[in-house]
Amino acid sequence: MFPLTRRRFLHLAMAATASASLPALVGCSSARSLRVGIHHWIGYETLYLAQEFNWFSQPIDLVSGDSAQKSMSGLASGELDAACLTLDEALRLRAEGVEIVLGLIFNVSAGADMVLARSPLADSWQGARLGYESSAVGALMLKHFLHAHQLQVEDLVLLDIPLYHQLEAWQAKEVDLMITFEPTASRLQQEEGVRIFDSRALPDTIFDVLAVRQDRIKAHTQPIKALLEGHFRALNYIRSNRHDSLYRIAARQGVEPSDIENALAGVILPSLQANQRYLSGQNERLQLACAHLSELMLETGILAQKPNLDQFLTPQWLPLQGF
Amino acid sequence: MPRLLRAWFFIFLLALSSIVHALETLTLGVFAYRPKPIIEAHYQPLADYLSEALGDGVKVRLAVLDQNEIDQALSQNQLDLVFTNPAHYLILRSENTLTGVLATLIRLENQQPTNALGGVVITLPQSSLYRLEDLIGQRVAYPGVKMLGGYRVHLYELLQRDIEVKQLQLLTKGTHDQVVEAVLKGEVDAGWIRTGVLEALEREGKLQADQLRVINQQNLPGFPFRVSTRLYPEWPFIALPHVKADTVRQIAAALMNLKADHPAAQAAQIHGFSPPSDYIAVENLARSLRLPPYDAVPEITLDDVWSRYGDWMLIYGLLMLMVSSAIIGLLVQNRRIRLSEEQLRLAAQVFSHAREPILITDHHGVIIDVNEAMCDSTGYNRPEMLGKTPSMLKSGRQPSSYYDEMWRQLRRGQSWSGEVWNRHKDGEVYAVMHNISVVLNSQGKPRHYVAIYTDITALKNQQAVLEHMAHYDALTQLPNRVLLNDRLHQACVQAKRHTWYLAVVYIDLDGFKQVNDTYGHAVGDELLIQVSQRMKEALREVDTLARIGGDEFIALLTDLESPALCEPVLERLLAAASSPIQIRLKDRHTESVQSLAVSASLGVALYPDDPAETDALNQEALIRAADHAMYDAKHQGKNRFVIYSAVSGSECKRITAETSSDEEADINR
Repeated sequence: MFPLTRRRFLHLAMAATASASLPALVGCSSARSLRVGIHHWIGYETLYLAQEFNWFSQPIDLVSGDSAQKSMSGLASGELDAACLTLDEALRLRAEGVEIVLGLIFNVSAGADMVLARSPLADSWQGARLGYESSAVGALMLKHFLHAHQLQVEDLVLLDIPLYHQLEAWQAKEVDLMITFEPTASRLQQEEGVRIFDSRALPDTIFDVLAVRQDRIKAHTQPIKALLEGHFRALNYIRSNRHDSLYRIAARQGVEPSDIENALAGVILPSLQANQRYLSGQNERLQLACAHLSELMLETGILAQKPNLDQFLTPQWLPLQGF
Repeated sequence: MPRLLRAWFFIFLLALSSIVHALETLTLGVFAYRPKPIIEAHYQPLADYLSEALGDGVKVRLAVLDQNEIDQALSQNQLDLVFTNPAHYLILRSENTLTGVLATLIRLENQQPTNALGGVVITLPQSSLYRLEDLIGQRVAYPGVKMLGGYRVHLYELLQRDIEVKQLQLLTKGTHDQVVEAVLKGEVDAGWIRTGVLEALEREGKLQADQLRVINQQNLPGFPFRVSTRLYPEWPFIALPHVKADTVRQIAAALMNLKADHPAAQAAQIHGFSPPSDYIAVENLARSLRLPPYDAVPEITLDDVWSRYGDWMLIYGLLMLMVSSAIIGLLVQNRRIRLSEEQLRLAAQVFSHAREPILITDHHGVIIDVNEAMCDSTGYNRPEMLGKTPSMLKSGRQPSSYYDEMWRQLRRGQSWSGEVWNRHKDGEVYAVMHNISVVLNSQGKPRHYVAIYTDITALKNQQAVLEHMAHYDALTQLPNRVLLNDRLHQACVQAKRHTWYLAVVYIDLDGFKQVNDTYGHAVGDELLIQVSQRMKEALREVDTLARIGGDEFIALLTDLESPALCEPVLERLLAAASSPIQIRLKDRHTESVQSLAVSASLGVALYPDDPAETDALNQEALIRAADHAMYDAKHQGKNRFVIYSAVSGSECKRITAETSSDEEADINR
């Protein structure tokens, strides 16, 4: 009646392993909590939502910083066990010899990164001042923007403007063009910014990921799994309880719910299955993006050497069942 | 019941009106979540707006209905359009075929539009309730079970905090306004209402902002209302399937086109309508609360349980099976061990307390245990014996072949029993009866040998005494008649074989009776011992002297090559018998030594009388003949021998006996 199929056998084996590892699990809970570096970005909001609703089954500290830079240095120094970063930031850490592994994709930018202009007319861009964060994503956006509009770097005046200063610089009319991303992008758009290029032109290129220090994996496997479980539960909540989620995220970010709606529209939040495909290599786009970004970063001098990409991605912490 | 009657009456009116008006009428049922006049005032303009949008010949009638009335109207198929809360929509959808949601309401408050609703928990400002947990045990008013913002969302928040509904005292009040009233009057401790009601009442001047306090207020700056719970999509606008598709499209278009500044929107205090929201959140809510239409407990089949929990059931089943069988096994084993322990204890007691010496060896014959009786009987203590072999007890009386045979039998697995002479530690040899059993291992090979000893030394000694008594005279220790007959028989056989002669000498002491009578039996006995000893000494090695009674002896002389050879012996016998004997006499007071003398009369019978007749041997006759000759000797004057002759009668030989007369003189002295 109930044949012991191969699949069932595997389930059994897993269940047996799980029950066997129960004491180990209990042992882990006494260890200090998992410290995760996080900063302002719509894709990472799932973690805050999970925290708000007490959905983490293991002790997890979300260490909020004002920029990715803080997460990167925390990860490099070992102060953090894991951090939410963009793929290029993770590559940079790897190239600098910080042993990290990517275990989750929060989002893929699909319009959330954009180039805004005061005027949509291409003629007015000649010799314009372009503000951007000199990150890999900034460089990537710049390269593709120039390419799409057949411009040369020499045609523009490039200004390095960090994210937190972008709104101010825009209002002060220090720049004519700005490479930026949500939710700042929405604010600039309210200030007469016009979208002239966005990351929809670069599908499957700009990823936001969870990077975990290799040396912390062993002691924190259960909290990492709990973190991912909380993320997917929150992701599901955003989908099914959209109204409530929008208000909560807006309240946390201090913006209007409609801004959050816009921001969410600019990202793709990969489901559990999509994560599985990306991280297992079934979908090669992530690996291609790693290679592509590394090359670009070498070209632009952001990287001094090519990062080692062996065992960079792992689907091992993804929850078993769907949310 | 009155409510039901009212509903029926209303339906009758609706039916009547559709007959009266010749033009097509669509009835819009709006759920009266607040008092009917207020809802009517809010939505009549919207009904008019829709009538206008639909144009010629179609009129939209507003029907503000409470929950039961809406259900009744729907069951009578009296409604064409329905505008109600999402929870109610889910129930209607499960009971009726609906075309689906045409649009979702966008409410407006403070210039802030929203298409989300939630629940508000209200209490008086001075109350001591601050958290949802504080509601436990309190009286809480709510508008009705089909409300979303007034009921379900609150239950969900309680569920998230593991609070059960029955821990609260819930009171139904019908509408949100009545709930607010009950709280204000202090009839209840708290009230559940939906978002927007407080703001509307304040706007209508029926409530001051500081009259009520909101419990568990959420910090959602973008949301225009005070709220205590999560948010869910606003009311859906629904068309029933019998409404023409064309009309449905026109209504949907009109709803989408409704501008915030339109009088209909302003009257309803709404911002307009948006494309239908996803009501999955409301469905999930109802599912997790098991509320209608998800209140039916799904029939769970064995297959369902198996497919969901099969793995765990298998694992736990196996575990339970393993544990229980282990327990049973342990109990059985325990019982077995207890029984065998008792048996062991019993065996140990038997072993140590047995009076029979017991010795246990391993299969090599090395002693591994002995009991106390064994130590007693051998003289060795336990440590001296352990590790040695039983050969330490060997006396050497049995040949080694005896032991070889014993071991051969034991190695074959057979038990053995027999007599063995052992040597005590102090050197004494003693006889034991051995009973050796073999303990076999599972392969049938000897594992241990158990030897039980019985000391039979006393038995052996007794046997020897009896044997001696049967063949020897108790007084003189000379062979008795039985042994004599035996020797005689053997001597005859020898004589016959070697054609030698033998002589039977019948000896009777002369004058013994007189000694006996004079000095008593003790002296007589002493005399007999000494005389017999001397006579024995007078004989050759091969000869036998036997006492056959009183003072009568028989000497058997063998290996005589000729009859004449017996004579020197006879002479010695006479001399031995007649030589004086010193006997210690004991009186009551004195002790003296007395020299006594007797003599002997000897009758001799030779065999073979005639060497040619050797076959005809008759021992009795031989003795009789000797006896006869002895009498002849007595008659002839004692202290002599007479050789019997069957042919010539008795031939007498006189032996001079000077000493005998001396002795007689002694006796007389």
